[in-house]
Amino acid sequence: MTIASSHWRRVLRAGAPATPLHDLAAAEGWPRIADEPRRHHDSRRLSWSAGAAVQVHLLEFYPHALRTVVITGEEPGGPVATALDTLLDHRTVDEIFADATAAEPRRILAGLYALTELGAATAGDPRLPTTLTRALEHPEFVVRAAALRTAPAFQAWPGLRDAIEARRPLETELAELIEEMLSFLDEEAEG
Amino acid sequence: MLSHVDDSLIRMSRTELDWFADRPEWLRDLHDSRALDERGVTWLDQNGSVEAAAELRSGYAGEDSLTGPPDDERLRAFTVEAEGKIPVAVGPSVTDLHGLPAIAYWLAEPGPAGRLWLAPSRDFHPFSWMPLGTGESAIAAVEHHYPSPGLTRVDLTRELRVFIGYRHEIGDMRDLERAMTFNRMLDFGAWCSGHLDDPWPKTLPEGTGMLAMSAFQSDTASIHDPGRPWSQSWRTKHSGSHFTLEVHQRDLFVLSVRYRPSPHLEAMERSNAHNETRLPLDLPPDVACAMDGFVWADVPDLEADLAAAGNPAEIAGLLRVLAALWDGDFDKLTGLRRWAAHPSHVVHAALWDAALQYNLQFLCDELLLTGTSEQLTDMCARVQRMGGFPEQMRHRDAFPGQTGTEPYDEDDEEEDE
Repeated sequence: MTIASSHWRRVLRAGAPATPLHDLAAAEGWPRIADEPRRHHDSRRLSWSAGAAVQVHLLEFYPHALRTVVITGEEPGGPVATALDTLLDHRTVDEIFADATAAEPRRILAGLYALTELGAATAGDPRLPTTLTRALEHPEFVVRAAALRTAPAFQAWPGLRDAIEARRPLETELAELIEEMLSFLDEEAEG
Repeated sequence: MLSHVDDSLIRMSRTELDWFADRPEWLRDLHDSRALDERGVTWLDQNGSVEAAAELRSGYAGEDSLTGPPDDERLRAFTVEAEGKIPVAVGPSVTDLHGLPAIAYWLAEPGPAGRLWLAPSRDFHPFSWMPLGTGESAIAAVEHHYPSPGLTRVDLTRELRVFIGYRHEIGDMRDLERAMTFNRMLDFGAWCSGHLDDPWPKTLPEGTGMLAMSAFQSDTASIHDPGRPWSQSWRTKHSGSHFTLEVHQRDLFVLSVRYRPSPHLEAMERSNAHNETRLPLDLPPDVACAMDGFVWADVPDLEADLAAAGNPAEIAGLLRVLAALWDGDFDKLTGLRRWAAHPSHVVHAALWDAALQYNLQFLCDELLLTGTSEQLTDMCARVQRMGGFPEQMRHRDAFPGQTGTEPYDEDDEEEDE
């Protein structure tokens, strides 16, 4: 099954091991059905079959140092999600937004990168526009660059293009990246 | 000299073991039960036993080697290891890509304390022969090894990674590939990083010629994935493990072995003791045999060296090698972040290389936030402006003349000119 941004997902806390998931899979006798190594731009993926149509995936995205667990094929509130919610040391959406709007650059980066993993779970969140705008305007170059690089993950926010466009006359260091992102968004809009 | 223990012997009528002096009771029972016969094992008479012992000795010690005279050291080792073990049966066999069989040898120790041993082929190192206890464990061993398992990556849940040297020291992939051709534990079909699993058939269709093999090699098996380290893999004949040589950072060779945990822990203990290695005890013994001739450094040793290192150049060198070994180990690779706080730009440069090679954006962020050397800061910033790291996994010069690879970009072509 293809993993979509709408599927149940949890981003693990930095340094949190995936051991509880491995242990649960072993205890439940879930057969491993996929083991794909990391590619340059793609996560390492381990997948288990947790029932007739239910699959559990562990994604390790090295560029952002993020571990995410995704469930496909289970209704919301199902037994696998309930078990994993208890076992996994994960960051809540509130915690992630709190990081992304913090003052310290490392926290902002941790928050921004985690938001890219959450996908649809945050698409309509009223905190998203403020979070992204603040990151795009942040005095720290690294934060602004990260906000631009991760922009494709937040296309569901209708104000994204305007927010980037507003940086055009102000941004010199990242002018090239701004143009690239605007072109990308325009191409996506044209389908 | 080819094996004397051929099909005609296997087809012979069932042989009794009366010739075996001081035959243990369990061996009598095992023979009488016919449980091994049903699984392709043929009992030997006394002459067959003598011939089998000679074959095992020449297989390991090189008396019929294509590459040189018998190896005295190996002959001595064989004599020590084979002492008191008497061949009693042969079969079944595994077949390689060309359909050539590698027949198994069974040896028994006389006396009430004796055990049964399995040498999966005559090329198997005697210190990797598998002690099987008595009776039922022998049957389980046959079922574990025969037919050789057609395992996929999903089945091969363990990985061993060791550093085997720098390219400028041990040669390029072509040199290593040539050496692997003579590795009797590996099957012939090799494949590159474009395949997660062995794309070769278990056995080539009858009549497949060299041209057809070459075409498959270049059109299919040699395809590289530019998003992964360049690599060349072989499957081991007996355990079906994936034996892979990887090129990292244009200069480092890593040997990766993906394997299914083996139950033959004692065989690996003996192998480790003989070779003065500390390979995992659940490593299939044929992998240990395949690693014969390699010199390597393992992760625990290198991590201990890193923990003790004080010289920035030494730290940087170790970080480069460990980054290659940690590739695929999320916790270890993301742990590189803490080294960004090191005051030396030499260490930062090693981190930068790791970030570039493995697309560790978080490490690039950290290098910028900690404020590294001006030159590195410029390079990190340039990467940020470009929107991230391009794929840097392609190392054409590590695979000279190899066809069927991914296309190269214009910069590579210009460099070649």
